[in-house]
Amino acid sequence: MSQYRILLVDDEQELVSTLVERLGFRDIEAEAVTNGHDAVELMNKEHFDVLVADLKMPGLSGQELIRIVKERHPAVKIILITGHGGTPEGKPPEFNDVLEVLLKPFDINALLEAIHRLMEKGDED
Amino acid sequence: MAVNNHTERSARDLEFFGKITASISHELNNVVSIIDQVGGLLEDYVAMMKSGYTPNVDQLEKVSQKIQMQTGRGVDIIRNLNKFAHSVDDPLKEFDLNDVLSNLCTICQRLAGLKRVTLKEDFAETELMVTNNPFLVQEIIFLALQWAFDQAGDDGEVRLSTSMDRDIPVVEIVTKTTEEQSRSFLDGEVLAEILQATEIESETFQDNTEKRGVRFKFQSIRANDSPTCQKCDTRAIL
Repeated sequence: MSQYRILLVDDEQELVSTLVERLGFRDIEAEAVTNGHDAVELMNKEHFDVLVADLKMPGLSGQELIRIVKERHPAVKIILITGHGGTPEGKPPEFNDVLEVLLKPFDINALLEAIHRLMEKGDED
Repeated sequence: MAVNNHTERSARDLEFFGKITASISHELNNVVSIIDQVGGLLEDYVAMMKSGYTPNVDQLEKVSQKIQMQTGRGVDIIRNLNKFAHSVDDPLKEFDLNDVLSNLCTICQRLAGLKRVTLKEDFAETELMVTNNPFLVQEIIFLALQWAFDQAGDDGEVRLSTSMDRDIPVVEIVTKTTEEQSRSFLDGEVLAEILQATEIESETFQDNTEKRGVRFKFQSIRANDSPTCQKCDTRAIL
């Protein structure tokens, strides 16, 4: 298994559960939850290197989740996933340098590349 | 009204149309994303089979079920969109309020979910036929639902119901709100204008659970009643 631990957050259960399985085949350990509150709770208990979160979710939005995570777990890298066709709405400008954004639907390799990019960037810091 | 506010009304109608189609396209995009990933999972299995791994029947069955489920979901979403899009075809027609509002309610479920609100529907068992502008009728109910979602707050509930009251079709939207807020919503400039164009009466009320809301009473409009816009030669109800 890779040294990275990934947390996927999206209210589309089928999407995150399939991604968990596919990442597992690529030796990346991933867990999935379907809302921001569960993500915050799980991150308080377990260590994750990368958070992959949908921007638009019921309850705690992706943007609110990012703010909480950056405050409580500043070392966690973040990838935003969104279905928005134009410039990703609500992307917090203050986090521009620590964020990767993927437009849905995305290729698994694009997700892997984004994960590796962020982790390499983290290693350089 | 039809002549002076024509541009503003077109922009307002387009905004409503845009909000609905944006929400539907987001949902459709989610469906495509899931099918895309499940298809990728199948590709993963094939690649692994070439290296000697054999997926079991359960795994393959799961993939098939996921694709079928999401395809069905996608078909439903497209049907809802198609029905909504065709509501602009006839500016004045006879239609069943239950049918049109049930479709709108389904479309609005995602928007309710994003606001953490439960949207419940309670429609009359019999048809509620009215002659009116189906697009504007949906716009009124959409504005009322958006208002109600904001009033309901996190984990709140909004109920949309239809009924017949002395031969007049009635639509009610109930949530946790106040008489003052309900009155303020109904008196808003935009809503008042569409209510006037569609000749729909509105009032505030309190139900037997002490929740409050807004009520719309539908009159059927006769074909030649509404005035014509002098700029585009279409009737005001358009």
